[in-house]
Amino acid sequence: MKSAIFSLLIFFLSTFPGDAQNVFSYPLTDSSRPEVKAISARIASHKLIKASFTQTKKISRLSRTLNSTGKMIFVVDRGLLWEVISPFPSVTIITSDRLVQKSASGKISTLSARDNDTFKRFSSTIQAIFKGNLPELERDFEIYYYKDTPSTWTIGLKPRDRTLRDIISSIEIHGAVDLEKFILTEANGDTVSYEFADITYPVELSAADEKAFF
Amino acid sequence: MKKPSFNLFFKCWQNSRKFHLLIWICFHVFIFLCLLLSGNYSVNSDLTSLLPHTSPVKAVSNVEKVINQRFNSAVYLLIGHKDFTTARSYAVKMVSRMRTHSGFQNVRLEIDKTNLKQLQDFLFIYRYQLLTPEIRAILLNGRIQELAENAYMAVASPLSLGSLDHLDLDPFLLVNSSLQYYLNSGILTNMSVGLRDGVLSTDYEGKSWVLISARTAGSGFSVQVEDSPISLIYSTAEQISSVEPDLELVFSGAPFHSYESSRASRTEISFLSTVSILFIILMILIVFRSIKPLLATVGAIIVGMVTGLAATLLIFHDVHIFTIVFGTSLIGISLDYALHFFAHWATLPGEKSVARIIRFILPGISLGLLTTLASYLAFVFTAFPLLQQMALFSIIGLMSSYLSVIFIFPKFKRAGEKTGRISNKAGSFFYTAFKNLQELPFLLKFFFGILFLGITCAGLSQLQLNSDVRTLYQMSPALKKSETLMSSILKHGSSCVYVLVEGDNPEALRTKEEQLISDLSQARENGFIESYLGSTFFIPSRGRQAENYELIGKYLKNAIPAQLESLGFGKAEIQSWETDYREKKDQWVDLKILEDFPIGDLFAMLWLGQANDKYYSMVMLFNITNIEGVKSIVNSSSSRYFINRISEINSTLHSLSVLALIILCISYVLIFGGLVFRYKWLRGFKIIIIPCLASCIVISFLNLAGLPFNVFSVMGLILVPGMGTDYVIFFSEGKSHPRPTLLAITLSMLTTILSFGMLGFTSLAAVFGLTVALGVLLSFLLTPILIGKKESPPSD
Repeated sequence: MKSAIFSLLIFFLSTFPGDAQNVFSYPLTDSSRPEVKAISARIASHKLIKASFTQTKKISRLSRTLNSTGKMIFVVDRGLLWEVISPFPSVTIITSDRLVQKSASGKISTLSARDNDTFKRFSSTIQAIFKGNLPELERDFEIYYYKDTPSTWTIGLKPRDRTLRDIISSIEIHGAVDLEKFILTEANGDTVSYEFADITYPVELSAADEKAFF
Repeated sequence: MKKPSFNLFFKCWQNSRKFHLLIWICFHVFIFLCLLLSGNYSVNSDLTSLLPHTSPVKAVSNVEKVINQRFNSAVYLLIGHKDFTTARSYAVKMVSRMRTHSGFQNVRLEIDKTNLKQLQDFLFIYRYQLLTPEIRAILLNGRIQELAENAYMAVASPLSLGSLDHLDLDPFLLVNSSLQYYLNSGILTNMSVGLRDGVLSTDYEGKSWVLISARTAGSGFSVQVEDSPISLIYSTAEQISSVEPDLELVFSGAPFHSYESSRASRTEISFLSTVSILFIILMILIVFRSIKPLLATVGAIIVGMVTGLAATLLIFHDVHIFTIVFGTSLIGISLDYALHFFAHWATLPGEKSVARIIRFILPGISLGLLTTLASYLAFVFTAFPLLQQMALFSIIGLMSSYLSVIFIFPKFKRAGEKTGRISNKAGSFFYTAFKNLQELPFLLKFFFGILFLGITCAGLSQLQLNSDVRTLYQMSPALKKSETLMSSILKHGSSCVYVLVEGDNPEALRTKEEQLISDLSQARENGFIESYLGSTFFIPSRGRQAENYELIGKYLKNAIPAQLESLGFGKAEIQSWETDYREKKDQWVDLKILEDFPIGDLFAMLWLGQANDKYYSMVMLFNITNIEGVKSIVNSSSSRYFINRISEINSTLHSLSVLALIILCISYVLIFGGLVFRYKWLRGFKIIIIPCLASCIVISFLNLAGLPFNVFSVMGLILVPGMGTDYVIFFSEGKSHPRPTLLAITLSMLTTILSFGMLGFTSLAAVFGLTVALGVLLSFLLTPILIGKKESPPSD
């Protein structure tokens, strides 16, 4: 199960794509750092993020693209709820101490994070991205930054961890006012992208969302 | 009845005088010649080779040895630091040093990125033959929808395991299930580590720990500890710790224990030998004031020890270093005969011929040799390799010393006046002491009698036979701390419990193992055990592989078109899947396929292959919570051997201790028989009661002092009657010349106590040494107190 978590990290991270090809030509510098800090601070200002997403997995060997849509909820210090609605419904919840997956027929599988370092690292990376925790991201990734237009930006991440790097070559985070798109490029060149829409920042969870978190 | 005489011995000795040197040379040359011709021999320090074999079935016992060698050669290191990168970089340094030493095999730190890909490819090729138990259960229960949903979830979810590259040929993602099953079951089953930055790592108490694993080239090492691979680890650890003081290194594995005990043994051997030899030299020089007895005695001891070692190497080929540690006690016993000779040689006035000395001492030392040999001979019949080696070492060593004394020493010229004068003084001193002890006031004897009776009763009332193997070996505090920390960090389950499965051929064996795995899954459902690992996880039986293939055809084939369509594929992919399924019908996973495979090492550890005419494999059991429950499930079918190494060793040690107690009784009976034959019933009884009482007092005393009463204590007790009765025998046989006899006996007692007492300072033989030393001392002291005046040497 530890390995499942590990792969989970890899595949989750692989879900954030983009097409700003040149972001990796721009390593984080002293001049660009304040901008990235500002972006991080803006992301961190939201304790709760709700959005719908479109996931696109490109499998080059099959020349196919697999699309799915759903909604996500991120709650600081609580975790991430990832609900795929179409084409195959499923729910994944990642908190700091457990991972829960629920299939369309309601079958639930749970993994405890106790004593599982891989899971802890995975969970903290998710938290770091959505909380805009720059020092933690810098510890685990080489960071790149490119300002596409005056209002849009791309942050590039390359894993320092060679185990992760053997599977994910890079992650791109695109945004303007909000986070807009993640692109993850796998070592074999395949990409997975997540495009976010309908982003809201409620103050607290609704009763239904609270229930969805189990 | 007339007292049997030893004159016959003397006559034989007298009549064969021309051949004495020849007999002595033949005895020694024969042993050394045989040794030279016998070829390979070695000295090892592997702790586990000391242990008795546990399985009564010879083939199983042999297979166990193979398993033990594999387990015992494993070395684990954890390098910890609060910063993972620092820990990793020093782990890389350690590994690069370890790889320079030929004593290491399979030094592992970085996990090759191609391994996972290779594993995925392998599982893809054989996906119809390698179904996980969970997938089998789903298919057999017709829960195809559940399988389809799992695949959909993996495809759409951000979290999935494995690649989707072969989704067209594997639309139910059987490979992903197998991959998860293999990774969970195989590589990380019993260790709480994960992959991080290409290495296996975990966090524990604020530090990141990086795991290094390796195997040593053999389970036993050369005694040259400086060259051992473990020495390299320690020196490298010292170097890197001096550069980075916050770094912490943790070691685990049998080779560390063998190395440390070997190093301790070398120190002990040097210390014991030096102290014993120095004491002997000093004693002989003080008492005899002549270089001749010194050279002759030390020469006889050295020849005796070397001959004993040669004979042990000849019979066992591989002598344990502890045999030599125990063997140092031979110095004290083999000296006895030489001391008897020189005590008479120096003190008997007006002797023209040394033949008369032999006539005086031959009965005593011959009977003494026989009783001691009888005691040691008992060890040969135990299943304890160490004690068998020690017994042979001592028997041959003693015989060599005996032959040196009776065949070589008589060729020396008589001692001078000065030697005689000093020796006589010493003899008179000991004689007076003996008489004083014998004439102790009744009240004093009564007081000591009550005191010892009290100690004995108190000690014996609490006496319990301790058969825990852990009491025989005390690991160093540093190593103990290291092992405990390693266990806490890795949280690994015990690897001492496993099941050996036996089959007539590989296919039959695999079928039996699969049945066992099925039974164990029941045990897991009952909560008896957390996990297990067997070779059929990697290579199922042909029957199971064929069955798996058929299951796909029966339950999944019809669902494939719908599944492929749901995933967006068309008729071409459906056609391709059907073709692929047909083509893979007659392919099998076998041993050859796994040869170059990354997981092959793990498989090789579990697949034990052929031994005699049977085949064996091992199923490892982890985190057992109900050992009796698991054992009863395992034993519910034949051809399975539930091996609980620690428990079985303890059980064997218990049986061995009981056997040793029986041997102890038999040796008392035999010695008593010999004494009755020589001295009649009453006197024989009086003599035999001395070591008997001494033994009771000693075990009570040691028990009250907190020392365990274990197999080594009993082995020590076996030697006490053999040596304890010697003093009375020598008293009795040397009545006509009391001073030299008492001189020899006292010096013998002192050297014996010294030799065995020194063992009390060793890590392994402390209980054994103390039992013998105190037993002999008490026998010596009880002799004048308990022996009647009639049996004592006459007054002048």
